[in-house]
Amino acid sequence: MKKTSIHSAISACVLVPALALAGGHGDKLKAEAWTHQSLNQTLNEMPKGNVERGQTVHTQMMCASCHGENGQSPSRNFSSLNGQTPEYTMKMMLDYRDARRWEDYGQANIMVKLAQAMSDQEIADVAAFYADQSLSDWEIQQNLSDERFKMADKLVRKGDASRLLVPCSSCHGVNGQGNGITPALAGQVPEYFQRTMQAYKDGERHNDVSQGMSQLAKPLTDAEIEALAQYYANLEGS
Amino acid sequence: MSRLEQQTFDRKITRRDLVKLFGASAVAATGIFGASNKAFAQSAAHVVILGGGVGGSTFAKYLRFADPDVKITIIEQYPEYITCLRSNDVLVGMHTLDELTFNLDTIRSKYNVNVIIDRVVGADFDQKTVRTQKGEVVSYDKLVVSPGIDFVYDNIEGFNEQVADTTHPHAYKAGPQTLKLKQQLENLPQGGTAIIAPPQNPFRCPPGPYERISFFAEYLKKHNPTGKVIVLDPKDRFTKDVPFKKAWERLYGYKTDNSLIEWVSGSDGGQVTRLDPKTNQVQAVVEDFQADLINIIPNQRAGKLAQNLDLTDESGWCPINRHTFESMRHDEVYVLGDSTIADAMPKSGYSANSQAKVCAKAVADTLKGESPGRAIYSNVCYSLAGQNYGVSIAAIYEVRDGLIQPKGDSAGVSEITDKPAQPILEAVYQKNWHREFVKDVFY
Amino acid sequence: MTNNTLRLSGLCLSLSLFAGTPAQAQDDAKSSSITAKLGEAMAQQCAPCHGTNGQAMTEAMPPLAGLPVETFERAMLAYRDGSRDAVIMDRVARGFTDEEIHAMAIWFEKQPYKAWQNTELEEAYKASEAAKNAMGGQQ
Repeated sequence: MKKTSIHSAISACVLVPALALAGGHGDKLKAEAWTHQSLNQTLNEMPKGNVERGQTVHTQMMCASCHGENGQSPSRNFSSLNGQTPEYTMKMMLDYRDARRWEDYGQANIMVKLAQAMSDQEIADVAAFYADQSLSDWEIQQNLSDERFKMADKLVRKGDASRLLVPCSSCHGVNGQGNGITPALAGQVPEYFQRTMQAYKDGERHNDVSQGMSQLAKPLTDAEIEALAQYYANLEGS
Repeated sequence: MSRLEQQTFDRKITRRDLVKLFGASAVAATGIFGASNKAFAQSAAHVVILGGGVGGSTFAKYLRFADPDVKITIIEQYPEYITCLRSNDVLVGMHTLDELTFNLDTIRSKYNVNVIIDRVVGADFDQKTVRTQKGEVVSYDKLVVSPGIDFVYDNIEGFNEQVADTTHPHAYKAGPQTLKLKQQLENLPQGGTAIIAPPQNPFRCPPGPYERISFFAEYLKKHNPTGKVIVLDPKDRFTKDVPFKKAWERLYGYKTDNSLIEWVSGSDGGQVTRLDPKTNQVQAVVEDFQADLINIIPNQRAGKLAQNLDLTDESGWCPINRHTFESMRHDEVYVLGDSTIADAMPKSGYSANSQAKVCAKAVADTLKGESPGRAIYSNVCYSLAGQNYGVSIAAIYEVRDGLIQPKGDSAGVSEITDKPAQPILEAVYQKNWHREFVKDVFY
Repeated sequence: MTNNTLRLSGLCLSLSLFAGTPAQAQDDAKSSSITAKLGEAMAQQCAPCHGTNGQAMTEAMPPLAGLPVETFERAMLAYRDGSRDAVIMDRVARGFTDEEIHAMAIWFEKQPYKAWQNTELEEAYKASEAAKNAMGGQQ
């Protein structure tokens, strides 16, 4: 691929002073919430990603310094990206760039800044690169008690009709492999998973289409979220 | 601060904590937050810290880690402390002074430290006592002094403390002068000239003047694109000059005809010799300059308290034992931070924090009759060359051949790469670092 | 795939788990010149970025508290030899020997994985004691 021009990248981030305030979360850009239609259209209009170019973007944007060599996170505060669906990665990057994802707990600032320095083509390429890396379980094995495993497994496979909870697997796949804009969860960093679910539950994260995930997260107990985090961390996605 | 943090941030030490540490009877005698002398066993040694800034506060916290029983007192002149750290941010509205203001409440309660707000006016090193303005005499077993810096004006004719306080703020100690300089930048006429004159080595926060130059340029680029920053420097090199100048090229047209920054080195006659505050003229070795804003950052020496307590040598700074930071001039007295002669370690908040931890362990060991362990220090200075453009310098240090020197192959500044993410990440790291750093110092 | 037991935040560390049998302790102390005390002293130098006792979770810097020894070591060695991309950790890692990294790793593994603000001083003392035991009980 063409080398990313540092000048264009830097001027891109200098041109958005409104986002650069020290607190980070004071002046948010206002982006319209996605509808299924607007999201589909936007993703359809994205350029076609290329794995090889994506690897260069991965290097140039120093993604590995937080997300690991092939997208498998080496740490508990960053998400794993390997084996993620390209649609989901693209959506996340666009959400960061347009400030749909700017949670209030001080974790999104870094990705907002990086996404604003990237072109649509680079976003599509890096998404293709991560999709090309295979899913893997989280490196620290989770010791899940039988009781906790059953709690999670029921939510994943059967759901809970009494609380209008559809099974997780109906969107995320039986092996947590994801599908389209629904992310893969297999092997996800459990601390990240918990934090994300908590953010949906508390209304701090709101980039989901039609508040789908937020509504499903609200009835879940802390114990269920923790069990699900460990359950998915142990899956390999196949 | 996020909601999650807020919930946990203000937790006070509980009665249970104190009972564990000092036994039920001691707590009963004093109440929980009194932290008076009675809370400690009579036999416990008393360590008195002069100065509740970065060095003093870190020292108190980490001495408590090293010794649950020792009696600790901080004597600090002001009830609140504004960090010099990140005060450049205030100039361009990235932080408020309030956000940089801290007190010792958590240090007092969580670590059971006695805090006296008073000014120290003298010490008797034979009797091992210090005297305060309000007339208190406090005796110590070990005295730790963390006095910061003092300014020296006499190498620039026409410049003095009174001029700095009124018309020409140096703004190199965070406070009212910072706000005045911010206003002067905002009032700079279109197409106007600002002069920044950095000091001679050694001085507090070596990248500070150059970060300020960058912020001025970024401000002009946005609000006053025909304005200009002229840097009159007595030196030919400065810390992180390679990545700073690369950033200036990338962001502010440095080295082009339209550069927002013109840097005059010492060799080119950059040393300022005279200021005329009335006409806003400065005389440098090379020529005279007329400007709309003149920001001279004075030369520096150890803080007044260190001078008054005879802890400085002819250099104006405090000589210390490199392994423990014990003063070379008086026994049982330790000096921390900017005022010390720490060789390769820069005068930074990070250095003061690092030295305070090593010193706290050394003091605790000495009080137990053990010999202090090996001293390993560290420093990281992140600076911003623009709001989204960070540059850094980092090193681990050890004592070698009698000097504090970089350990292994650790010393280095930000590499110049073609990776667009690098300066962005460094800028975010800087913000994260600052958030955690003040917690490590004051919480 | 490592075979570590998960230590979740909020779960107080089971200290007896880490006190270590004498045999383990011997095994852990690779070098007699690198003491537990030095391990702690070096690890405390990391706090300005990683939080007091490595207990901060920021967007840019990962927490080190409760990190399995081999995870910490692997990361530091990769930073040091340049095989892991870094903003600043490559420079920092080049300041430490294998033995020093190991001593820090042991100390961090014993720290409670939760925010320092939620940690009692007493827990910090216990963690420090546990690290000392893991280094063979030497000072």
